[in-house]
Amino acid sequence: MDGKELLKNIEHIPKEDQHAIVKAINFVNLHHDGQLRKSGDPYSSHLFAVGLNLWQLYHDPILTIAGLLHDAVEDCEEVTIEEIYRDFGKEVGFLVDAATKNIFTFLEYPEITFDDKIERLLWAGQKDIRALLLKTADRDHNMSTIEHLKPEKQVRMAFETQAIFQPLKNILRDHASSTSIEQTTLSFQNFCTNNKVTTPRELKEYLFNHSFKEFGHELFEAVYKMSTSIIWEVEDADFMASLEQAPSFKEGIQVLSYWTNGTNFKALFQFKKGVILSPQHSPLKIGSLKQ
Amino acid sequence: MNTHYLVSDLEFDIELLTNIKNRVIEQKQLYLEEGASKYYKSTPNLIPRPHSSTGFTNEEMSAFIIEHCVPKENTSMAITSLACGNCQKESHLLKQKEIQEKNFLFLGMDASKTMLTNAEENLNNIAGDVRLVCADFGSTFFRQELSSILQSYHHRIFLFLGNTIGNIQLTNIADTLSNTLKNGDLLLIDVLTRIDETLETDVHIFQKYASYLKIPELTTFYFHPLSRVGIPFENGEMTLQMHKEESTGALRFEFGFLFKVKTQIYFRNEYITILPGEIITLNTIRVYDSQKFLSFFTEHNFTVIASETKNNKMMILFQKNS
Repeated sequence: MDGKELLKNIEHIPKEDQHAIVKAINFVNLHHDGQLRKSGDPYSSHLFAVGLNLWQLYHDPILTIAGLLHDAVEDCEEVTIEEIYRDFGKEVGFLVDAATKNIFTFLEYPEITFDDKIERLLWAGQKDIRALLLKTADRDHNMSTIEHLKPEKQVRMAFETQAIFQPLKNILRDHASSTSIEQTTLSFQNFCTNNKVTTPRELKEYLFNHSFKEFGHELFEAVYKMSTSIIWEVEDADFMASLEQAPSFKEGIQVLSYWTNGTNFKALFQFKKGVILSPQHSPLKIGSLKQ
Repeated sequence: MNTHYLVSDLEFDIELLTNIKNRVIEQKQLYLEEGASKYYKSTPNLIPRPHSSTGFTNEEMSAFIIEHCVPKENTSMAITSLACGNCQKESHLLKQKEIQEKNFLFLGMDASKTMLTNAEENLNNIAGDVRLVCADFGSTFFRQELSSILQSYHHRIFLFLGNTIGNIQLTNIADTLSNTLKNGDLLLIDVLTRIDETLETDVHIFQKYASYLKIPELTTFYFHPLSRVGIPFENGEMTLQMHKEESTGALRFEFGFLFKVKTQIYFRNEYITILPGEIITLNTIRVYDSQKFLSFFTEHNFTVIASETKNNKMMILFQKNS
C-alpha cells in the first residue's frame, strides 16, 4: 500500500484539504523512508492503510492526516511533537500526541500526568473522539498483520485488543447512527452518561468488565492457540495462589516447574489452550513473559 | 550376624567425586557415613507428610506380602530387600508365623554401613537364614553375586520399600530390575502417588516439600554429602524445584544446593571448581501417577498381580515376565 489509493480517494475534495493530506503523505514518504514492518513491508504501508481506512469511514481531513502521522514522533528520531503541532496544526498535533506511546502528558496540557497509557488515551478521546477513532483504526490494521509479531507480543496485543479496543470499537460504531464525527461524538457522550461512565478509569473498567462476558471472538481463539508456545513466569507466590483458584486457569494450564529457596518463588507454566481469566484475576499483572 | 561387604568406602568416594562433577548426588550418598544418623534425626516427626496422613503400617505391609507373595506350599523361598535401610519393616515381616514356618533366606542389601549396623540390631532375634550385604544394587558385581546366592531358591520375592524407588531414576531401576529378576520372580514396590492430577493437589504437595527447606535437621541431612567434601553451607542456599516427568506422570521434587559464590574443593586428589549459579541436586523425590507407574512397569516386562492404596501411598506387587 502506498499513498496512491488515498490520493485517488481525495481527488474531488476541496483543494485546501487536498493539499494538507498530500503534505502529510509527503511527510510519511520522507521520514519513514527505509523503515520496515516485521512483515518486511515498508512501514509507510501501515500508515497509508490507516489513513485510507479513516478517510473512507469518516471523510475527515484532520483525522486522516493524524492517521498518516500517528507514528511519526515515536518512530522517527528527528520528528518532535512540537513540529507536528507547528506544521499540521493544533488538532492534528493533539491526535498524534494522543496516539504516541510512552508519553505520559500532553504538550497542550502539561499539568496533567497519566501513569496508565490506556487511561491517557481515553482521556484524550473524551476531549476529541477522533483520538479513539484513530487508535481503533490503527489497532485494526495491526491485528490484521499480527502473525508477523513474536508470539508473546501477539498475546499481549490480543489481550489488550480484547479487553479495551474491541469493545471500544463496538461502542463507537454501534452507537453511532452515522459516521459523522459530530454524531459519533454525541452518541459516545450519551453512552457514557447512560452508563454512568465519566472518568477514563471508569471507562476502562467498563470496557474490561464487558469484554470478558463476550469472549469467544474468533480472532482471539486463533491467537490464544499461539499462546501454547509461550512460557509464562510468575514470581509472586500469593498471586500464583490466587490464579490457581480460578477454574479456567487450573484447567487451562500446564505447570512446567515450581521453584523456591524458602523465600523467593517462581512458577513457569504454559496455557494448554486459549484461556481468559475472570477480571479479578487480571492477566495483565503477570510479571514477565518468556519464550 | 555379620554383614558381608561387596563395596568399599573408596568406591563410594570415587562415585561421590563423579556425582559432584555431574552436579547430581546419588541417593545412596545421603545415607553413607553419618548420613544415616542425620536421617534419623530429621525423621519422622519433623517432616510434615505431604497431603496425607500415614502410609502403610508394618502390619498392613506384612499382611499384604503374606497374602500375595508367600507360597502356601513349603518351598524354598528367598526374600531380598533392596535398599533395605535398617530393616525395620522387614523385621516385622520375618517374625510372622507364615514366614517362620517356611524354609527361607532373607537377604537385606544396602549401600550404607550405618544403616546395616542398625539392621543387624533389628534382625538380631530373627530365626532363620538372615544375611546382610553392603553393596550397590546397580553394580554388575553385586547382581552376579545375588544371582549366585539365590539360584537354588524356587520362590523369590524382591522388596523395594520405603518409597526408595521415588529417589532413583525410574528408567534406570526399571531396566536393572527387569534384567536382574527371572521369570516368575515377585517384586513388591511401595511408592508415593498423586491422589489426583489437579493443580490444587500438586501445589499442596509442593508447599509441603517447600516447608522442608525450613527444617534445619533435614537440610543438614540433604547437605551432608557436600559437607563431607568440604563445601561450606554459607557458599549457597538450599532450593526446591518441581517438574513433571511425562512418561511416568510423576511430579519430581529436586532439592538442590544453589551456589552463590565460586567454590573450589580438593577431594580424592582432584580439584573441583563450582561457579555461582550452579546447582547440585542433593535429593529427588518422585510422586507418581499410579496408572502411569503401573503401565511403565508393564512395558518393562512386569505384570501387576495386586495393589493396595492408602492415602498417597501405593503398594504394588509385580511378577516378572519373559
